[in-house]
Amino acid sequence: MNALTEGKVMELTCSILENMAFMMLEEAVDVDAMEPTFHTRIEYAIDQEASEVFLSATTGFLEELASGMLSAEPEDVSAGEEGLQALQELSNVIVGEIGRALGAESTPLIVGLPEVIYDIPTQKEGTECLDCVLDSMGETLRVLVHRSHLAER
Amino acid sequence: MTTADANILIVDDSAIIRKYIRLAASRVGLTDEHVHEAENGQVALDYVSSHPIDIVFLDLNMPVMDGEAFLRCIRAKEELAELPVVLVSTECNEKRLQGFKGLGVIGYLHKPFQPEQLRELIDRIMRGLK
Repeated sequence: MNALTEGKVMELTCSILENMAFMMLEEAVDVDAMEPTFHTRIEYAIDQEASEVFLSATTGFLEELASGMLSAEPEDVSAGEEGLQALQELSNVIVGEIGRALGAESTPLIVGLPEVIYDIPTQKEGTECLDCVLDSMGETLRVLVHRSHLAER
Repeated sequence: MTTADANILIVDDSAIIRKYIRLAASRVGLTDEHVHEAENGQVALDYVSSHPIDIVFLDLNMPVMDGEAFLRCIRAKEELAELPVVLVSTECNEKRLQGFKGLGVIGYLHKPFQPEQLRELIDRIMRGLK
């Protein structure tokens, strides 16, 4: 099994956001100050792993993400519409890149459809949790990966 | 046919990705009336069966009918067997991508991509179609 670390998840997320929306992110320092409003969930399976990726973002982050993608001003997009669509698409792309990091070029990767959820669940027993929080000008994105290794179930 | 005359169909369940591709298309001279959208393979299949489309930009992971099923359906129809299709997806499995080439896919854009990459691809394909 290939290694997936919080550092790798952070690195690939930063790269995706730079490509998709011209956003420059860094690791958040004051994680407790984060008040995420919007959440998404997506599942993936590869090799002996069946896992979930959750994203949580603040309203301002979603406005920045959607406006960056659409070359618009943040006030011209709605966090609850274009922002949430962008967060779902981001979760899909993050899973694609996680899959690539886990060897999807040569191993089949099955990806579910992203869905909007109302809160992030607590970690399930027996899962490995990777948790990283990124900051873009005071607005935050949390990426949470709950990894479940089938052989260990 | 000029680039501005071409009709493209964007097939993706993400509304923001459809807008993103529409925006890139506008920058190579395609006006809104030449850019069409479908949110899944079934809607796309119905659309290409009744409208003249020059090129399809196709996502793979979609509800109702996914991109692969759409591709197999159009290749089975004589009138759509040659319709140019470009994949726009997170797919990176080499074996699967080779399989899509066998289904006549003429280009592949890996997500995430920058708008400039998409503009270059559209421009290159449109020049090739003239």
